[in-house]
Amino acid sequence: MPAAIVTVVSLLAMVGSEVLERKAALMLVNLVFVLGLFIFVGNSGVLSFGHASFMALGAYTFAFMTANPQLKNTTLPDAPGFLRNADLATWQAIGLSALVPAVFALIVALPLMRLNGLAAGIATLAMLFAVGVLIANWESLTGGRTAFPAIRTVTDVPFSLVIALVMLVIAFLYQQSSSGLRLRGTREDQLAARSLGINVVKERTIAWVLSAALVGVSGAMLAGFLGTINPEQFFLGARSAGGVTFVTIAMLVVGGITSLSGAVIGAVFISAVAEGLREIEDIVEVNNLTNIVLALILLLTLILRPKGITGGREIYWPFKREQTMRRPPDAAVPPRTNGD
Amino acid sequence: MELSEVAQNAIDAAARGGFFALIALGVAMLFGIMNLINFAYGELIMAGGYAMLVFTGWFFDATVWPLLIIWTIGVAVVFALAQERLAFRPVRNAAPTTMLVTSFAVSVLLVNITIAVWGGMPVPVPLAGVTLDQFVIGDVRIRKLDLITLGAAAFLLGTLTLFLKKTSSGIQMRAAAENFQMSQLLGVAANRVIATAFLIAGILAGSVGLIAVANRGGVSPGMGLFPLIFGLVAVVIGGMRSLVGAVVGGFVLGGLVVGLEQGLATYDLERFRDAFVFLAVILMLVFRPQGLIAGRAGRERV
Repeated sequence: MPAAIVTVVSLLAMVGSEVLERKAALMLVNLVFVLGLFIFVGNSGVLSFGHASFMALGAYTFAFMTANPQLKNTTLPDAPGFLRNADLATWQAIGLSALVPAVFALIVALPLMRLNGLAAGIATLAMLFAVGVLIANWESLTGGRTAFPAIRTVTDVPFSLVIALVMLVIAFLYQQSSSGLRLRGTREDQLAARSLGINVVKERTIAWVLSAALVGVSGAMLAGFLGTINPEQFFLGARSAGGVTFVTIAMLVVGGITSLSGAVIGAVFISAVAEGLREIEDIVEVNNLTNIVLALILLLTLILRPKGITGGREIYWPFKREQTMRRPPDAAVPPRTNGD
Repeated sequence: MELSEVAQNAIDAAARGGFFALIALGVAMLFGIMNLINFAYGELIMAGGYAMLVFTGWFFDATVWPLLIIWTIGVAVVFALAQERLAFRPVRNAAPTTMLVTSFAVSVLLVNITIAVWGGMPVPVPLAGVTLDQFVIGDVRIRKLDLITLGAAAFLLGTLTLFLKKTSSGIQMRAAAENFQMSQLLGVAANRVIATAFLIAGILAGSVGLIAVANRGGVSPGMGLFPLIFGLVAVVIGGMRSLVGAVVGGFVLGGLVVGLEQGLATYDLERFRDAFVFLAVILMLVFRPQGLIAGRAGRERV
């Protein structure tokens, strides 16, 4: 069902104007990010503000691998030779954009995956800032705050639709896998899951690394869409007010944080609202109306419908589903039976 | 290192420590009472800053200091109370992470409204020279503003301590921080205690706003982010469940920041200072989650 929504929306956009096509491509970039975010946050119930740093790593990897070598030699004379002279095929570069953040995620998982609740939120935020500071200030490697130019522009609607659908399948398969199920067990009741012999840190690490890979790919897609990137885009950044971190968290929460359908619906819904608002912005000349309204939508969702549009349920096609009892972490805990 | 250099660094560390301690205190206040990490706390500081901008627009320069101080703190307090009533009261019983996301949304909302009204660029606020005045004793430079910061921190800490120890509301607040449910059962009014906590947080944020604007000479929509993040860091270092811990954490962070600057400057790496600070936070959360000063037994492992 979610796959159907994505395909229909994207195909509709393709028959539309060129502007609409660009918007659809951007929506798909965000969708891949949200899918990655969902794999970790949705299944584990642990909040992460740090995923934008995976996107940054993916985007910079893609940039290094595809930008014109001659240009890199002039703009970044101090970067290591293998980066300056790299000129990979697009698909190889995307593979690397998944691999690099995944390896990074594996390393930072060692301390981070032990944390719960608020501590995890703060620690992932600290990770985001640390990576942001590194990228923005390591001038000899990344060019610092100046934009990284001339990245190969490959992202269009069919290209990103294929990637998004593949990622959707991966997210779905992971959710249904035994590891995904175990992780969701720890989300519902960590103590009970542990008592059944589930290794919480291990299951979280698997999801964390996989989600970093997906988000890294979304970074490559973004770089391949814009043709130029700068560190600000991936920061929490006040100027764009949260930038990608804010928008993707809004998508996940508004859609419904605990279900894959929610992630997809949230991404499509928020993208549509945002792009609609951008049109209005030009008319009323308030150039950040979009962010204001998105923040209000997120706020109202949290207050009025904390489980999101889907209520945390999966939606299948046709509209029937096996009824599994699922208790999102935010809900009040119902009285327990012995079998719980 | 010469003695004057040591003294200079100590003064720098103390001044920044005082600044961080004030922010950390506001953050820890809300956390202790309602398990809320308020991202939008930075925007209270921002609100104070823009209140100063508006004020100086009326009076041309800021020679009417007492009025400016009251006005700035007043605006920050109004915003703090509005945040509590409109955004945080409805989600009070939700999971702490839900409240965290809520405060994130409030923060983005306020920043963007500010951008819509005043634009995204920094705007200078004309203040009468306090920013640059300094005393020189031997080789040591002491900025007047640093003294004001330390003085304000001492005054606010002292007043707050008196309030918490001596007044009925203060004792109720400490009881609520200890065990919120139990204090409610014993007749402490939840709404009032939480509103009081936000009121105090607003006063602290307004004071921080005054100092920050005097320091930077202007305001910008993102001005609350850096203080908030460093306040959060100070709270994590000092101990999330203890107000004393927040103050200690603020001064430790002040020392850490100055120490890192000195240490990294030798290797020409000082621009990576913040990366090291955040690394310290992660390590702290993993190895000593209760902070330097443990406070009361945590209900949740944070």
